[in-house]
Amino acid sequence: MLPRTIRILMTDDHPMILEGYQITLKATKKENQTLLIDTANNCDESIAEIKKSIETNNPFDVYFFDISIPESSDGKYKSGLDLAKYVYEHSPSSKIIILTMFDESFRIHKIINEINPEGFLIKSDLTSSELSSAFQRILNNEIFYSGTVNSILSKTLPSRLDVDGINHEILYLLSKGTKTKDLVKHFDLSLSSVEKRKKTLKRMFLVEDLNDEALINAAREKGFIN
Amino acid sequence: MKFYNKLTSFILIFFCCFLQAQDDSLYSNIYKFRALAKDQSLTFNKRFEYAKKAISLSKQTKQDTTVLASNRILSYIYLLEGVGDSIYKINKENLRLSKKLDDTLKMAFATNNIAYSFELTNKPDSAYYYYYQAEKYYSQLNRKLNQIEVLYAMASIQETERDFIGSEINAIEAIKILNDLEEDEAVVNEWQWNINNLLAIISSRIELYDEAITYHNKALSYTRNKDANPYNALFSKINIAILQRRKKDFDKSIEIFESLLEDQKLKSVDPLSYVTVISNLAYVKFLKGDKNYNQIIERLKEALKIANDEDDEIEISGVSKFLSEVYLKANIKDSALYYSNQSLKVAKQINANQTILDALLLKSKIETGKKSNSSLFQYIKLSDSLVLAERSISNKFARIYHETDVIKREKEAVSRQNMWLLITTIGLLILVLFIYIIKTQREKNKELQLARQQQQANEEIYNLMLLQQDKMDEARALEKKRISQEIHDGILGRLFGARLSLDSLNMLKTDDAIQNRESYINELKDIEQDIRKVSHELNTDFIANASFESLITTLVETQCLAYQLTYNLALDHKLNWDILPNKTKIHLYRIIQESLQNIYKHANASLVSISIKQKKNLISLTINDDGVGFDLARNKEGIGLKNMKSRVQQINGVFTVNTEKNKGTNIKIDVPI
Repeated sequence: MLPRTIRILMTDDHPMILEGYQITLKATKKENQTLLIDTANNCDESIAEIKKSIETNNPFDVYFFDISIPESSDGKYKSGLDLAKYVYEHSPSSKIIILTMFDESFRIHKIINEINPEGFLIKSDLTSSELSSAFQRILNNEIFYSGTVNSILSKTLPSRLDVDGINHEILYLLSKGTKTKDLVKHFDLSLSSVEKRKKTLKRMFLVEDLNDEALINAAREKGFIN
Repeated sequence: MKFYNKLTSFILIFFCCFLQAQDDSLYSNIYKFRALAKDQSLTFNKRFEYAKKAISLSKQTKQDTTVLASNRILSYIYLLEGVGDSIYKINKENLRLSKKLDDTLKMAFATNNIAYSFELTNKPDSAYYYYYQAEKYYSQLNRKLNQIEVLYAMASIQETERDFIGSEINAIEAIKILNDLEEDEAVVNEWQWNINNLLAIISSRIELYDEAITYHNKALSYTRNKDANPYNALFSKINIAILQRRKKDFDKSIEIFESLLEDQKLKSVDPLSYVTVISNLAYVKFLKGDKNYNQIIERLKEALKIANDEDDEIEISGVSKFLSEVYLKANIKDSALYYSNQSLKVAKQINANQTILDALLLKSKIETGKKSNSSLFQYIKLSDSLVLAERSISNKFARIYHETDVIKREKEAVSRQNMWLLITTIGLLILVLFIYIIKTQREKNKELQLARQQQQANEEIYNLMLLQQDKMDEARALEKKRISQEIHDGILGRLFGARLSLDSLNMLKTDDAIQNRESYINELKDIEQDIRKVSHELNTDFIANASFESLITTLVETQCLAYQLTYNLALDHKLNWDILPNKTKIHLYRIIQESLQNIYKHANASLVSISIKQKKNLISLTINDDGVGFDLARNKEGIGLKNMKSRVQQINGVFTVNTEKNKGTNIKIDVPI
């Protein structure tokens, strides 16, 4: 086995978590692997590291991104999602592992749809062994999703409904109890187009009831929201 | 028992019958006596007796109508007899009774009779007064013939009393009514003659001879009817002839007198008229210039003889005067004086003023020296007194009109006064009623307005509370979100980190690892602490219920933030706001709002201190600022200050402002609880 140096950038706003990752990875790495780990606590630090690595033509091999981290001071990068998109654009060969506390169907779909990372782990059901196995498999060019992610994705699969990002978010927000008139605040949409989308969704989920409750129930049944 | 009943009923029936019978007999007696009193075949004395019996029986019935009817019979007999005093007495009684019975016609008759009684007793003014009243009643009753009769009587009295103008007015009034009268022709003609004759006499008395002649001719025209009184025609003709004489149209006068003498029966049928005719004929011839004095004197003496035989004073005095004149002309002075004295004496007996005057004038011509002067003086005296009497008489009649009118007017005035009094009273009552209604209405309105204000205050505070609730709900939601985020991002993250680290350290058994684990266990302790903190935060409701206190706090907070003021709010937490009426609360709230606005607009302050404290039964609100203040004496109260004052007044509070230039402003409001 050839000795191999793996450059890693971990971005999370909790030093404790970063420490946990490092301990786990270092404790479970293979003999021939040398881990060079850099950490960032927010978008600013993270993007600076990313840009520096790409500019010096020495990009990180694996990126660990938390989703909800303090956004960059220029407001360009609001979350780990934006950072991941940047990495894929400028260094397509890099591997990305998303680690998040969110376990809602909508968010998971959104992440899969928007960036489709190599690794997708939900913090709440993550163990050190799962983390290390995920890390190793991704290094082997495999894809690793947490059990939660897989089960959510498999739920929506048989319906084969094509719910796009915005529609999915609408479903998500409705399920959170957001009122229709307040939905417009979340999108760059007019009230009438939000209503139109809701109608489309109702048609899609075969809901005849005008009530949002029925739509949410149907979406929940199909696994689009939980 | 049965027997007694029967007996009593029998007695009752008997008694009733007896009463009835007695009653019936009383009335039948009255009727009997009345009939006897009316019996013209009986002597006046007998008739008086019966009439008086009828009256005394009538008085027993106590029926005014019955008494009046009997009285009228007596009055009628008296009238026929012509006893003035008796007529007056009985008719005074009748007038009283008829007034009591409100019988206008009987009142008119009684009044008429009273007037007649006065005429009989030679009291012309009283007679005139009662005729005047009678005329009023008759006119009211539309009894035209009676009206004419009375007017004629009035005119006659006035003529006798030398109120010629008044007499003429009444006579003409009578003629007017007579012209409208639809009556038997004979009756109308008789009255036409009477009135025209009266008018002719009046005219001749004021020496309008042509007019007098015209009236006489008119009167004469009503004597053509065969039913007419032949004496009327004779009277008119004699008068026309006398008037022609006075007009000095002697030929015409002579012609008429001579035509009258053609009637051979005149001397035997009407000797007095005959006297008038022959004496006047002789006198006219004398005046015409007939020098045959002896023949004239002879004719006059013949006339005087007949007059003496007939004992007619008027003719005696008149013919004597003629004789005296003729003797004077013939220059036989002693005879002239004798007859003038005789004329004067007789004329004085019968109060024939004109003849007295003529005789006196004649005497003064016949006599010489002192005697003549004395006669002339007497003449002038009498003449003056007559003129005076005439004046006063005419005044007297005018006064009767006037006094009656005055009484009438006074009555009207009194009734008008009463009416005005009534109207004023009613008006005042209505006014009082109106004022009362308006006042109660206003009070009601005030009450309603008060209730409405209360309602408004309630609504306002309720809305404010709702708003506050909304705000708090929002804040609560935000807080919830914040706590959730804190748990999610902070605690959960750290917990996850610790778990992950411990998970990996679990596999190692090095000393290093043991030490590391120790540190993570400590970390877990810290997390524990954090969770306790969050739990505590969740437990303490960071905002109290929507209370008035929180309302004020929010108000002050937001206002001061907006106005960039530092504030110091001291609320008495022991104060039980719930016992305060909403009205008080809302006014306090608005006052604070208003004063903060004022401080922002005018005070240029940086620090505001607001405190609400309870002092026994008072709530004391003070608002201090460190601004520029103002001169209380100079500044006119602004709308803001006025508003505050009126608000404080509405909740019965005391409002005080202390301020000085550049020393800030202090507002203090004490409101009773």
